[in-house]
Amino acid sequence: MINEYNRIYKYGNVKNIMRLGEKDGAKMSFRDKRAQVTIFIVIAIVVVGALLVYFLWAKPTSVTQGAKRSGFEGCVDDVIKQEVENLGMTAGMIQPEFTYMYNGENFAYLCYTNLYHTACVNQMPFLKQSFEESLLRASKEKINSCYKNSMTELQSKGYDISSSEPNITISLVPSEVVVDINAGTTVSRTSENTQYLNDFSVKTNSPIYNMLIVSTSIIQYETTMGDTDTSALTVYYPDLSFNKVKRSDGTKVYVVQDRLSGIKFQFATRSFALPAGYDVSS
Amino acid sequence: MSLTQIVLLLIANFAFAFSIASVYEAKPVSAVVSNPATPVLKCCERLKNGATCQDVVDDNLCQSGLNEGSRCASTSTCRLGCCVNDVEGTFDKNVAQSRCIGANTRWVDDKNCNVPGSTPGCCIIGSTNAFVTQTRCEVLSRNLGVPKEWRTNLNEAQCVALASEQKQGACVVAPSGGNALLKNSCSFTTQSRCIGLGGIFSEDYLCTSSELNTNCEKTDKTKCVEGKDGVYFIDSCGNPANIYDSSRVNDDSYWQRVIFKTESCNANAEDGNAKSVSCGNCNRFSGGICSSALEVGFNPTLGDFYCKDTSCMYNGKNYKNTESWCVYDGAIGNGSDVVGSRHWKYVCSLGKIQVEPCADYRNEICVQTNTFNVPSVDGTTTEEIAFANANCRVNNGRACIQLNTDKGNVSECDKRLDCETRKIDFGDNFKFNVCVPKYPNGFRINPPSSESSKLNEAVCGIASRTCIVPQQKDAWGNCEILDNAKCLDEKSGEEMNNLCMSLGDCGMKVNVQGKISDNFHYKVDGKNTLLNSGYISKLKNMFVPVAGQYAEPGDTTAYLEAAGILGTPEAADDSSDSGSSSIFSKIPTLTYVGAGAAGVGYIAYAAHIWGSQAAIMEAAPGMAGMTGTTPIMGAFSGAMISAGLGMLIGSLLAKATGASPGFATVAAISGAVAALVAYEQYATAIGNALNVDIATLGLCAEPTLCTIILSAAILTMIISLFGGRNDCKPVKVEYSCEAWQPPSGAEDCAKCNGDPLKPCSEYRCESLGAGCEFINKGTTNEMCTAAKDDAGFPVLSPQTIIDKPYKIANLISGGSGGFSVTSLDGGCLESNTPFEFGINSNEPAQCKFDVELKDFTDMASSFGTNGYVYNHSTIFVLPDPAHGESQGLDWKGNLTVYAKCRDRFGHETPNFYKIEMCIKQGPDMTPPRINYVTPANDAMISYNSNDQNVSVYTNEVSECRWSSVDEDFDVMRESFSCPANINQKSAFGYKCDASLPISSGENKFYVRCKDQPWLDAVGRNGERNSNQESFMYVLTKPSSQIMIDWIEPSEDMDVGTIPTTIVLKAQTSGGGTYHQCKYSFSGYENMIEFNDFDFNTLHEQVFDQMTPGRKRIYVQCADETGDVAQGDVRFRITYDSSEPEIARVWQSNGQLTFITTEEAECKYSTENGEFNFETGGRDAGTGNTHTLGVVRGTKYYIKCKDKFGHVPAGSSIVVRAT
Repeated sequence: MINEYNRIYKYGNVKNIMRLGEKDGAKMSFRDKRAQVTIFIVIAIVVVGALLVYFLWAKPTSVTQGAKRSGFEGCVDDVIKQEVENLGMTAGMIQPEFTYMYNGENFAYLCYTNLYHTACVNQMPFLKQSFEESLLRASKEKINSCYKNSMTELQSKGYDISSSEPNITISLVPSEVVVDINAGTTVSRTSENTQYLNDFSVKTNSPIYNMLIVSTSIIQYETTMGDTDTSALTVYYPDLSFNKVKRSDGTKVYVVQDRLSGIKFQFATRSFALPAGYDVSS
Repeated sequence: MSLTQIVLLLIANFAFAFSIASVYEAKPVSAVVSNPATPVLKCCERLKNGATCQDVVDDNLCQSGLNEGSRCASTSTCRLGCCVNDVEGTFDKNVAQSRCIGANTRWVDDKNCNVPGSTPGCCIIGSTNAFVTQTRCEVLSRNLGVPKEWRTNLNEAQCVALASEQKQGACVVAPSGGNALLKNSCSFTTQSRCIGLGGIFSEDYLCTSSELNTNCEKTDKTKCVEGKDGVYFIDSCGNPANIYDSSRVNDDSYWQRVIFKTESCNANAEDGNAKSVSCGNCNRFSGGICSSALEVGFNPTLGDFYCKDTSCMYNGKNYKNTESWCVYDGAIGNGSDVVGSRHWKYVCSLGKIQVEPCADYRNEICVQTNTFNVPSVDGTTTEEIAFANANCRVNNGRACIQLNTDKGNVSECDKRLDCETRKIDFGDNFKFNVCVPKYPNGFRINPPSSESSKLNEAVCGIASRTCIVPQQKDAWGNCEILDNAKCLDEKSGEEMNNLCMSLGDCGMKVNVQGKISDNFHYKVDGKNTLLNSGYISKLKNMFVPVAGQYAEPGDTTAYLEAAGILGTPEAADDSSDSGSSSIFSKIPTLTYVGAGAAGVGYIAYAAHIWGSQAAIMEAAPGMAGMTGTTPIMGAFSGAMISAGLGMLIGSLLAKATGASPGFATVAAISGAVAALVAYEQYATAIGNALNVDIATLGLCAEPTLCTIILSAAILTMIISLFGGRNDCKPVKVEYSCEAWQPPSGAEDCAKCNGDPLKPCSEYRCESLGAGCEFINKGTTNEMCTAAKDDAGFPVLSPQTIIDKPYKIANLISGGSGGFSVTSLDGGCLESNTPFEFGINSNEPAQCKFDVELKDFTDMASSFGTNGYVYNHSTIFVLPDPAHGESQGLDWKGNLTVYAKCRDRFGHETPNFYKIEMCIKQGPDMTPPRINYVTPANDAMISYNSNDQNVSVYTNEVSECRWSSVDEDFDVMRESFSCPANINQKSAFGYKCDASLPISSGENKFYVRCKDQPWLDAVGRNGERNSNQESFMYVLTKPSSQIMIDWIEPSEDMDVGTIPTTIVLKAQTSGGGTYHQCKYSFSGYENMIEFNDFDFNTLHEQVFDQMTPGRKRIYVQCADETGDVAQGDVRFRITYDSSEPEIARVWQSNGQLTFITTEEAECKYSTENGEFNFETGGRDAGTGNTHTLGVVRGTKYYIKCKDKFGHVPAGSSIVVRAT
């Protein structure tokens, strides 16, 4: 074995050794083949050793010990994206009660009046906050589940975990959904320092904040003017598309869609509706 | 001939069901409705459908919280206001008080949220910006963990654009542990975000820069970047690099530093690099935007993204991104709009045509302009650019109809938006003007109620007229036409049909498939005369859109000025205001959602010159003050009616057409008696109180002309009845305009489906055929389909007669059946009594009747309505055969009415359904009955009147007299002027006129009538019948004239927001009982009614878009007598945008005293001036003078907030105590 090492060092690489073997002109004997295998084993050990050094000592930031954020973050990311998509279809309500059926889908009324010639009454004040609350209710258990699974995984890797029930809050900010997790967690392993984790955030890219702000703006205009100019909105928010359909009964169905992610936020309004002809019924 | 006269007589007696029935069923004398018949609205907190806080008419809609006595605006739970969350910094408009709940929320009584702190500004946080309130900006900054900057000098457009202009660069984060062997990680972001990440920011460097030693490598992958048009390379870390340029993928220098868009490949491409395989320098305004290539099978040289073509092709024309245009279902304007049609707005949105239908039933029209003026690049001139701009706006058509009431003025027609005057002139005694909509509103084809149906018919009935063409023998024995000769020309039928069509869905008109339906009749002496086939062909072609035709935006200057929106003469004098006090320049929030259509176009144009985001930055301030090609400028120009002003107009018009009590009088405008019915049913108190002359309205648009026509008709009747052998009798020409009904059948139903650019609707579907139904509403299978055809004809049966002095005696078998009617004792029916009868069909059907056997289309009258219904009834007053005989009619009283019905699929009853009866001949034992009086009994009349013209309507030809004391008819001295001829009957009966002397206070008159005046001439006075009891007729003159006591606001005011809310109040007194006021900012010519219809004496109007400047508001109030009072008020609104300042400060005896420039609440801190005013600091008093105890050597950071919430970010003043 040592001789083989020496040969590697001397000749630089396995290839050269092989060439030496060939240069010798003789077919390699059984003993030589064993030598090759040995070399390969040695190389493998060196590679694995280097990897171990890299991950255990260098500790690249893309992988963090303790909460295993990449796995957990990915889990939370998936949950948030899915729930945002679901809630967007129902105007941010988990079970909307007051809806309008169009094209087979139920569009929640966010602003409504049953009269003609009258501005609508806002049915869902604080749209963004409501969406946050709904998103939290819809995703809390799943995020908890992500958290518990990460803890379990760490435990399986020999970490001692002690944690309390995580307290989760969600806030929507421009381009992101921020999930704040408050969970007094202790992660420790015999040969290492104990890590204490209290608050950490998972940020998911999402256009939902902008979509909600623009939708709020649409509703504000519906309450005062009875309509919105979606053409102008398209100019200012090129990443969003706006579809507005006016129905015969005066209801308007809005679909705000993010071009890049495909997420929709859709709702209905009825404001300053006009009767057909000279109908006197409201 | 006698039969014809009978028919004429009977037809003259016809009244639509409700009018006479309600008249007779109420009292013998029924004046104009004294109690307002307006629907009573009640507030419901929660409807069964889930809606909250709605005013309802029908209690059954309410699930809980029904307020019997008041509307939502008057309740504490459902009153609308602004819902504020002080912690989040959000303000929501039009929120019910009870719904504004939650932590840190409060409700403010201002629906438009013109409250301190609500004005949004540009919140710059990291790489994204948000147009939000200051508080919200702080919250975002906290949540994102990045510092913020909040700027008030940017509007939304600029704020959004600014985000993409922010400097970005490589944010390098060293490896943890400081291992020099490892490379840095990197993300491409803004400086502020980088600080949050704890990295080192290198502006304009890419993460792949060799100088930065990062682990990010160049790749040949591309992606779209949020907020940017172009396709960008991405590095191995997922960061965006420079714009995709296939020729430079391996050029190391291309991966070092940011290369700007203008220096990237094909920067000036005319088409924005649309569909380029090698260059991703897209410009969405010129024609390209980053999009996935995989989805469309496009193969760029590298990567999976490309510049998608943002232009659109439609009908052979190319439209740029954001251009919009109108599409129509046929010809438009001049009454041409076909039934079932609507206007459409198509928008080119990033390469896709988006369809935005305008409101159905043509409640909105699509208006378009194709050019507008923009300042040149150097700003010295303006140039006209081509850019198609379209928008849907409210159709003002109803207001045109309204001008035809007696309170309207047809001469104002052409000044009114969307209105035009139609002039009919067929002779000296047949000429009139009618104000009609340019784009007539559509009607519901199957109205939800008979009232709606009658209103539609009433509108169409404006064009139902009778033209009498008198003749006489000339010297040669030929008949010479004396007048109205043109009535005999078939062209007159065409003109009248044109008038008919222009009123709405009336007359002979086509639907969207070009199928014609004949609901207009031109009859000469009772005989249907067909219109010219060439004319009919032209009508049939109206369903084909006319190339290049579109509706013009129209001039709404008057509306805007009257509403105080377009600046006022007062404001023009106000030199202290910077710039115009027009809403444009003062209100950044108008661009909160977006600027007007013209602004959109300007951006597109400028973007081509300067690049997208820079264009927005450049264009945004200018958008407000842009000029255009129409009088309505700025953001309002071009296609107009967009966010902000345009919608304001829309809402003003919408309010005006529906909410105004004046609209109620639209019911009383038809030549048909139905108008009177509808008026009686739906007139508001003010309509009644304003003493509308019902009878006149019921007959003609122009009362004077009406009298002349009637006189002419009487003359010809007399001649024909008593003139001996005169063969040149007058010719009666009748124009009959009915509500449009779809053609029978259902062949075309399916044609409504399947066009995604013109989705079907109920209106469109039902116009295609009477047998078409719109089913599966709201589902994915929404469609127009044929109803079930039972292949049979309608089966008829009599309607039950209840509580009437007659009964169904026998049913007639054979043929299509029928029934006979007798009095309750089996005899003939009493004359001069209303006879209401009807039939039922077993399926929806149109039914007609006549006294002669005729084809269905030629039959004289519809049973109530010409629509497809189950129940058909009508009512007329049975004439007295004896009276007829006395005037030459040869008729003994036997009458058979023949009816026929046709179902939606065209199946007709094969034979006639008969209704047989006989009417008693004299002697007439019943005195006359007074049906109606006008002005109404107990009415108020003008303060200035000394006499009053009144009319009394009797059920038979009579003499009427009056006295100021209750005495017998024969003793009474004063007489009414009454018609002597049986044919002179109007809708409510025989009209007798008099002028009564009026003094102040209550005036009582006693009226009695005596029938059969002709019997005096033959010495049979004793057979006449007179009233034994007087009808007491009371008219009251108010003790004082209506006047305006005061108007507020009358003093200057400071406000803290733009726009702001002010409430205009006017107090009236005197005059009659019902007061209604109007206002205007421009003068007394164009006025807008106060939006409160409770008719009390305190009138309020809320303006929630008021801008600073000098204001003058004109107010005019009227009572039911028609008396008017005028007044005006002037005041000035000053916007206080500044924080309170410290005017003086001094210290004495350990006390620091300071005076603020305005009343303020002040706080202080000894640490720094950055404290949050709401949650931090210590109290330093409220008012103008403030005092606090101080410690020598300590610094005091003082911060003050005014009543509008203006507070500095830092300190108002910093003082060190000595």
